[in-house]
Amino acid sequence: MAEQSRYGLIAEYADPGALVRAVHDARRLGYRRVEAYTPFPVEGLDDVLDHRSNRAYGFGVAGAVFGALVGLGMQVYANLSYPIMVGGLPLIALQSFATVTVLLMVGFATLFSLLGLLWLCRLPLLNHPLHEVQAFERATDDRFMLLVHADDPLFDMVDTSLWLAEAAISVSEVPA
Amino acid sequence: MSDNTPHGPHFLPRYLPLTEVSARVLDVPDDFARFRRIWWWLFIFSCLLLGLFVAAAVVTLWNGVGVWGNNIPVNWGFAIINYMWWLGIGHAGTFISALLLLLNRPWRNSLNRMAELMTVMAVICAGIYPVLHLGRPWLFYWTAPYPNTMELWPQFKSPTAWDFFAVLVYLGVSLLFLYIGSIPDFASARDRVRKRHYKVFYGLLALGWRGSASDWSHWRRAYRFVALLAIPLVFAVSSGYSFLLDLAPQSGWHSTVFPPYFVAGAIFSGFAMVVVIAVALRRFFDWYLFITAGHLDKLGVLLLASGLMTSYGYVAEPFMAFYSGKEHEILVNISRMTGPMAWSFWGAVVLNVVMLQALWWPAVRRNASAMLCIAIGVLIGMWLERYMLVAHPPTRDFLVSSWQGYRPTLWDWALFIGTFGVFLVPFLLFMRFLPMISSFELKEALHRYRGGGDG
Repeated sequence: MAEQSRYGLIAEYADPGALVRAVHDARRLGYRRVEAYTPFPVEGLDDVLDHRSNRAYGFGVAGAVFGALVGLGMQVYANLSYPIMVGGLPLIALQSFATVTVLLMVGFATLFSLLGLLWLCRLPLLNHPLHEVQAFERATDDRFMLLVHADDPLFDMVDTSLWLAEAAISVSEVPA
Repeated sequence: MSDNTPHGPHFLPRYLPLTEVSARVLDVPDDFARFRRIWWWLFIFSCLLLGLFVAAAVVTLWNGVGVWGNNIPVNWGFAIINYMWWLGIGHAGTFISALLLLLNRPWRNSLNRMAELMTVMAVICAGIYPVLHLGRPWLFYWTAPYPNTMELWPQFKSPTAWDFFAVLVYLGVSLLFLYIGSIPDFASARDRVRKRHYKVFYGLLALGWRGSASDWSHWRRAYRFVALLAIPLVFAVSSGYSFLLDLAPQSGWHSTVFPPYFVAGAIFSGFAMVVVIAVALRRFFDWYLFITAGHLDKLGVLLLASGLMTSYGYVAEPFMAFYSGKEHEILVNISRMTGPMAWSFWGAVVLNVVMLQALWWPAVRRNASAMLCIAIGVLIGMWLERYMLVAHPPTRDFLVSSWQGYRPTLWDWALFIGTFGVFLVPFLLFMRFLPMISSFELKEALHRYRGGGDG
């Protein structure tokens, strides 16, 4: 029963280089369910952990297309609905509609990017097992953390802890 | 000093511990006692300015825009001058944050947060003006395309309809960009502060950010994508408000040089405001370590470059007037330089062109007092430029019989001075409660500078 009430093990490193090496080693040993936590984006982690998803761009592009269609559609509709012939311009004057179309494109792309980012990161989240760990408080400050999930096939409380402790400053158990 | 890094200089001391960055930036709200006294004086002063704004706005709403100096033909006086001035200032924040991010200039990491907060407040100060100028501001929603049974829509072929979208979208995008860029810092602050109520405050703002490698990979892509879009937005918004002038058949306004001229002028005035804020904040928070002479030097170069582009506008605009050979166009330009408002033209030339040349000397750029003087000069100069551009041409209308001067009234001035309260009160609250420097981006710059390893 004790096995199920555990989220994983978190190891703390003093510098990003040590963390990257540890993540490399973990992957080499065959751990699949590992994740790194850093105070800022660290180059190289994406490659080791296979975080190559470009879906964040996808949300932005979808927002841009949506915004451009809304912007242009709104202006075309307004002019067809209540035609105002003015300034010697055609009824559907695309040059005149360009500004608002671009503005709404950028606006919706930004909004979708933020919402997409939150979706991809599964935020907002009020609490998380990691926040129960004292050491994790410094993961957003100046420490670099490696988490091995308890559901990793290779996870073993004793072996994994001992292996992590070889290079880490501290190893903590994360209760579920 | 650090030009040998592959990512450009950031001017930070090489072995600055990461936690020192957090201590100096993120612990400010928790440990505010040492700033409290001077902060309260500034806050009370700003509240007085805000009170002046409220008084002037109430007088305007009660009596109508007749209390302003606007007349026919000068129906765009202070309202549009100050609108353009504030909106222009906002543009530099986006420019510093977004363009310098994509160009990999880590020195921007010391300045982007305060510049973005400046942008948000400047856009709000600007946006207030057209609303008050409507005469019946409670019908403001008429400018929006809301569904109505009469099928009446905004006139989308008019720049005034574009402007409504420009200000709203610019405000929204600046806020979201600022927020995306601040989430990791809110998380750092959440995990660092000791007082419970601050933990809750930052915890809610951070939305549960934990900084996993997969979060960062999504975050980086989203942040850069928004930055990429924010740059054309700067151009669209500042050209957009130049269309308010140059699509009118008014001599002195009707010129194709206006959109680029306004983009340059906007960024120019904004850099000046960033210099003022950077110098002020580093003194207030004792952040000499983060905002160095190197940063001022870079800002000085940007100020000089954007100022020279604006100067080109000062040359191109009269040149095109004379080159066109149109009698009225020439008359308006001669009157601009020699008429009753010549002080605004020559004032702009002295402050924005002549004084600016001091920035060719690196010693001037690295000297905070000199930079502050030049920056304040530029801010005044850019205001004079807008005065000369917006208020002057209608005084020399096509009909000589309608020629009339323009004189701002007491309430014009009160409202304008009051907008500094609208700017400063929230800005001081930001200083009190938010990390004014992007601490995680500083740490990233430090990390890269140490060649990927750390210590």
